[in-house]
Amino acid sequence: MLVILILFITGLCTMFASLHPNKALPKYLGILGILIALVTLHLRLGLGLDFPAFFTMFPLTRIMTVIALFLILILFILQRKYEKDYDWSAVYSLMLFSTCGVILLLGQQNLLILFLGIEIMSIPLYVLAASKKTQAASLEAGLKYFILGAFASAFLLFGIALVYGTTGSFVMNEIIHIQNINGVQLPAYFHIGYIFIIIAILFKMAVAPFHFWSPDVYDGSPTVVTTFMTTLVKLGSSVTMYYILVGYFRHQFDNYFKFLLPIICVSFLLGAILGLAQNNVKRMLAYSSISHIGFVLTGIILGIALQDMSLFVFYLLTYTLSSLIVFSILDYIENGNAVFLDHLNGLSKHQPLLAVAFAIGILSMAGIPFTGGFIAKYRVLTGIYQINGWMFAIGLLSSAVAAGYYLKTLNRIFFYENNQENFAIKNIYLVVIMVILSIMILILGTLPELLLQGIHKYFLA
Amino acid sequence: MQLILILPLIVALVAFFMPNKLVKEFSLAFSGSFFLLSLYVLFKYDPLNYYNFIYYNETFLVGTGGSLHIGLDSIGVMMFALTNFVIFYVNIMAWEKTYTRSFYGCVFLMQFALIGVFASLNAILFYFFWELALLPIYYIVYKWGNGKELNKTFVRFFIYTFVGSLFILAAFILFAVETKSGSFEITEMAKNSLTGKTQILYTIFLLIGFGVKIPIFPLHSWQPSTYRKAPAEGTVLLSGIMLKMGLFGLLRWLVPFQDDALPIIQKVVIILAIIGTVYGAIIALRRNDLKLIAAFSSLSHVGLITAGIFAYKFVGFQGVAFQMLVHGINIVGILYIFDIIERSTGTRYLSDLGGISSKSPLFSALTLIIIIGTIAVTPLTNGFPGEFLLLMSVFLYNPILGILAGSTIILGAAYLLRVYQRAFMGEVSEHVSNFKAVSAFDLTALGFIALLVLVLGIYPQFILDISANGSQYLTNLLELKNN
Amino acid sequence: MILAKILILSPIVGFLINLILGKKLGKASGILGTVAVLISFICAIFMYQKVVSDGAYEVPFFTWMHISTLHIGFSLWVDELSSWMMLIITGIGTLIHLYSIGYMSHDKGIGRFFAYLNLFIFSMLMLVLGGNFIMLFVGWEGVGLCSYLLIGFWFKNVEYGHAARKAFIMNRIGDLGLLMGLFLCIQNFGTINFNEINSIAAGDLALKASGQLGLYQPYIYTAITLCLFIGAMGKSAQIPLYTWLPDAMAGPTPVSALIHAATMVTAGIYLVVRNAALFELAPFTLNTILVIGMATSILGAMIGLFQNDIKKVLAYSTVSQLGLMFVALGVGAYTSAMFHLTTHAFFKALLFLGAGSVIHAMSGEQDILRMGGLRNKIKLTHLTFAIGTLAIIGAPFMSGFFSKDEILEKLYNHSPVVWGFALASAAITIIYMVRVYTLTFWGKFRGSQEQESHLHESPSSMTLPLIILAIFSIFGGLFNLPHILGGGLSQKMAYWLSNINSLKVLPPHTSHLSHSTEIMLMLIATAVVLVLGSFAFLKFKKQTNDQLVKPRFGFSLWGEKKFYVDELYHNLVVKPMESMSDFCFYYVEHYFIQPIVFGSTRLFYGVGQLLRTAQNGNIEYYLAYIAVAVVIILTSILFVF
Repeated sequence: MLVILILFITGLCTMFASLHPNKALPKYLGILGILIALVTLHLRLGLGLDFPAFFTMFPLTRIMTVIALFLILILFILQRKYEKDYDWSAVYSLMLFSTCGVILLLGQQNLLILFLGIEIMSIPLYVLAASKKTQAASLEAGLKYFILGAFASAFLLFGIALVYGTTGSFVMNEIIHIQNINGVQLPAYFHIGYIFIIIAILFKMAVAPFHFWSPDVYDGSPTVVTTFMTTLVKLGSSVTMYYILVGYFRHQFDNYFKFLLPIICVSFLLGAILGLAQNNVKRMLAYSSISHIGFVLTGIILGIALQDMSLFVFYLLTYTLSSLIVFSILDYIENGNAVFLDHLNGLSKHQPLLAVAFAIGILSMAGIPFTGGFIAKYRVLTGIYQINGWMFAIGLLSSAVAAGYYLKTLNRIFFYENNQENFAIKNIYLVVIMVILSIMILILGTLPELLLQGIHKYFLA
Repeated sequence: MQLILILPLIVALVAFFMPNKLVKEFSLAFSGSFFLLSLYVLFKYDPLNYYNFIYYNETFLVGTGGSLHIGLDSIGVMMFALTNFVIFYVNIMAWEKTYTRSFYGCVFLMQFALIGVFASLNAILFYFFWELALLPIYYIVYKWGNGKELNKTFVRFFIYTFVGSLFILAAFILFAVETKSGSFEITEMAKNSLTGKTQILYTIFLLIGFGVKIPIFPLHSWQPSTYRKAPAEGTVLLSGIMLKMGLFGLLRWLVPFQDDALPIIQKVVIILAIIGTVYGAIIALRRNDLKLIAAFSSLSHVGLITAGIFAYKFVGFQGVAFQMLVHGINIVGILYIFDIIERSTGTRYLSDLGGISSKSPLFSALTLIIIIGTIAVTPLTNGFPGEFLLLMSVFLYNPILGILAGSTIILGAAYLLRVYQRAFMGEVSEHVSNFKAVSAFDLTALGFIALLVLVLGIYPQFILDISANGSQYLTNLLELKNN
Repeated sequence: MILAKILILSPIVGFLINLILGKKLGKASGILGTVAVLISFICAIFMYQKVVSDGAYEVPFFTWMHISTLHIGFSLWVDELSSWMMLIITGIGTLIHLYSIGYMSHDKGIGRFFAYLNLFIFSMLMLVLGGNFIMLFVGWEGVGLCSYLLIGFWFKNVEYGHAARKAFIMNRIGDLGLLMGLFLCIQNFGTINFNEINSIAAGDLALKASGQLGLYQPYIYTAITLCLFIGAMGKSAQIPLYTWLPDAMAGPTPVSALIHAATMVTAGIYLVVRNAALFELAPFTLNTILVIGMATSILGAMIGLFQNDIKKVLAYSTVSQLGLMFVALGVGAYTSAMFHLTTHAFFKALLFLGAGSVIHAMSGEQDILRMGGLRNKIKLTHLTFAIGTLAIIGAPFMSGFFSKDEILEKLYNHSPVVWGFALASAAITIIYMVRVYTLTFWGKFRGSQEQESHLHESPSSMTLPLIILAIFSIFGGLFNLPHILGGGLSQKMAYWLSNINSLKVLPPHTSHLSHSTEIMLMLIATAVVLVLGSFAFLKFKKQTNDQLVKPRFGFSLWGEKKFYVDELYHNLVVKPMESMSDFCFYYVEHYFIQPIVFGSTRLFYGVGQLLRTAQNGNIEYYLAYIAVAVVIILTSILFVF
């Protein structure tokens, strides 16, 4: 809770700091705040501030919070070439607020907090999506996101209401308890409520067939916002899904997880096939994220079935890391808003290190060995095989098809001649961070036990 | 000695950051010393001690079943030497050209991955190296390839190989999950066995996965166009060593796990392989592009090797091991020759060539030796022992198939001598008239290959002794499981 | 032992020195090459004596391949047969080498030429000395390779290159047969050692003689021997694999002499004799050999009748004579075949070298229609060529007379019909050989002025071999005189050869021919030779220029066109192969192999494009999709669960 407070205050500070003539001030304030938050987490301060019926720092929460803070830290540190002519103060503060929502989701104990978290996470995003005020696409993205998001919130609220109506409680433990007692005798509208909540979260995760907003929004938003969405938002909503499946409605898992399987399959295939037909890199990666979130969802289900959270945590970690790399570099490349394949041409000639880092990020997404993506995907696939052979086949097929479009981007970077001059700008921060991140991905791919054991030691000991 | 395995990676990293001026000399020196080192390893191979020199077992990739379990067994040590040989020759071939450091880096990265493939005793580790080996070759093929529709060719190559490797992964996962062992150690895997449908699936998956790389007919459509568009060095890597990955994979990851020996699949594969053998040879009869001839010749030779594997006989395995090595040497020689021709005349179309013999007698003599060695079953050249044993194993499996496979000794002679006749004999053609003299450097390098052709042909027992161990192991395993 | 090593290594040393230093040595390379073979010849003489006195022995070198139970030693087996072959190879080989010094003296590639010749001799020695099938195969392939190199020696000529390739590939077809026979031996007998196979066959022969079933099924022997015979067909130019031999004339003339007389083509005969015991167990194969040999003999002779190229005539005569030898093998007259092989080696070498001398004199002209009246210009060549002709047509008391007569006798013993055919073949031989001889040396000179002015006798290095070979062509019959004429020399060669393992085990050959029949047969043959020979001589001597160049029609045109066999092969084998190659490349690859992957990528692209239309950017559609999805999920949950 203390972390959320710190971030919230930092957000407020950055918002007011934008009044200061120094445009860089909000950014540094933000970085400072995040660092403080990280230190608090490390020192385990503020544990007493938790409210058992509302918000608790589970070990999972701590892990995810650290990852989330880490991600947003990097987002903040990165220097952007158009930083000067774009009002960033609001962006920073909104991101911080949204992060508050994410962290709230990570430790929720209560359906109300869930709703609150989702809204706190989403509302700044609607604004962020539309933050390039001069661009119609950005505004359109914001509006679309807002309308569809509101739709989803309605589902969520309706679901929560139904569940409350049957159980008379918002609190996780109580809901579990009531289900324990009543067994199967809960009324039908409890189940409908449950389904509605899940659908709302599926929407937030952008799982097919609730994914329609994501390509448009990813494409229209400023790339930095897209980065934020593919990393932190995915993190928050996935963990929420985990809580719903194994927390609030643990007893319904065996009854209902099967209806998620076709949805996952559809995500696999849609993400792969639709991405193939794209020229717009951001849209392409949006579809790729649909496919990946399918894997995450599978990881969650498997994690519950096999009692091994690390499946989806690891997947999320590698996926967010690699998309952080890829989107940050797209951010560097982008000219205007959209990034088309042509814009990637010849990056390797001008920025070889960035090109290699981008390649590692993409390869990790494609699940090539020696990158974290392989380990993550491999573990999930092994799990899927145990559930259903056909799903396993579809998972592999989607990897194969998706590899096709990942390859396209790599071809552009390495083998095409450059036709524009915007790679000339050197950005040492970006290069260094990207190299570090790509090395991290390689380490995740070759020595995952280092990380897993480290996490275990740090958080659970 | 385990350092041998990691050394190429270090060299690759150094090469990536070297100045372009120096990298050529650096790479040649290193690849040459690797080659000498591998000769030392080969000569010191002790058949009594199964995993010589290089054996290492360490936990790695916890949670995936992977481990750092490596060792060079008898056939592996031959492939190790072949890898270093091919990489050495790639560097030699690149000597006359202007490649940047990333080329050399890729080549050494490839070497690292290839050695890993041949040394892995853990399925996941194997898969790691398998995929790693693909990346540099993609880069080399696309970056330095040329010709129309390179993109299309490359996409085809990529799809084939990538999908192929996914099949391999699927097979391994299948094995681990279905046997409930969850272990990917080859020693552990050997203790378990699949049955029924899952075994058929395992076999088919691996056949597709490795078959693409080999390639087994009809999975070869990537091959001719890729050979054609890839730079000469890329082609050398592809046919000299990468297709051995597939063959080696079959030997190591499929044959030992064939419990019921699956007679139907065995028959189907042998028939397909022999169709490929004849089909490749027939196509090669009339092609005009030297590289296409090399591609289809490769298809033909490799088909026979595949058939030899699936004959499940000791002689077959011996032939496979020998021929894998020899095909590597000879195809490098052939492609090197073609490259010299292309470099000196600016064309690689037979219709433009003629009369090189008059221009460079020594070059044509060496060419003739290498071509004779590549023509199947010519005694006292290295082409004899391997192909002889392979044909024998196929014949012992089924005489009719043996005769069909044997037709390759006629067709092989036909298309290769056609090349020699068209390019080297006859009157000097227009393109050849300003044939640049072949440098002493190239002649020495080719001479060494020619020497290998003769030495291995006259005294093959040296290699057969090394491979006997591995072949015996496979034969025993199969007999044990069948009885 | 040491002799055998010198014998085998001497040519290979000659080969290596000539190959590496050939350019620097110049003409000395010829002498070097000749000496190398001469050394072998001397060794061969001593070895022969040793074998006759002490019996056969093995000379092991090293283990070549060792694969589980199959042990392939690099070892030589010296017995009467192999040392007899050795003598022919090295003896005639030496003479041909000697001859080549003169013949090739103007050629730049003389070093290379002698290197190949030496390699040829080496391969042939390997072939006959090999103690097992693999060693034989080494030599077998080796001579094929050398013939390729030598036929295509003048590499600038595209036609020669074709001929060389054709020879190699035709041989390869035979090799495949041999290889399959070899595999069958391994499969059934588990060994490839001649002596072991022989003792297996001997066991079965003995069982058969006592009326029992053999250890192995008869069809196994039939299969093995048929395969081996296919191999023999390729090397010894039998129907249908004979067309390479006449084309092999593309090489320098000494090469033709070497291929046709002493080496290569005799390999098939040798193979059958070496495995006579196996063949004896397969009557079907023997009959096949008989029929094919007979057909080849007559076809070769017929084509020879209508050829105008002096070397082509000789080449077809070789095909025909080889056919005759196979006929002999077909009736089980193994030693007779060997005898004819020997005498044939003498006179065919003589004829070829003589023809070479003529060509040399005529500045490269090979067409007999442009020769004529050479008897006064190149007397020595004429004399020796005449002796060669007499020998090949079987004029009385020449070597060919005895060897041919012996075969005819054995054939008559087998069946008079076969004898009749063989006699017919011999009769045609008489006509075309006399034709060649007469047109070349008698009548008027028909060549150009320039050629006439250059006419000269060959140097002594070329005539000396001619003289030696002529002497042997006359007296070669002494090796194996028939009983009735024999005295101390009668059937000497048959006696020697009967010691070898494969012949030792055969049932004793019973001849039910009386002496009077033998004499009668001999007289008939003599009469045919005299009548036909003199008739032909007179006829061709009188022929004028116009009669000669008159265009042919009907049967003789067919004959001149070699009965269109080459064209037949071209249309039946080569063309279909080529169209198949193009068909596979342009159609199978394009319409069958490639769509496997491109079809699937197109499918995914197509589906992708289709689905893209759903993502049209209109928010109301999106809401509708979501609503539909929710409804589907809810209903499915309600109904399914």
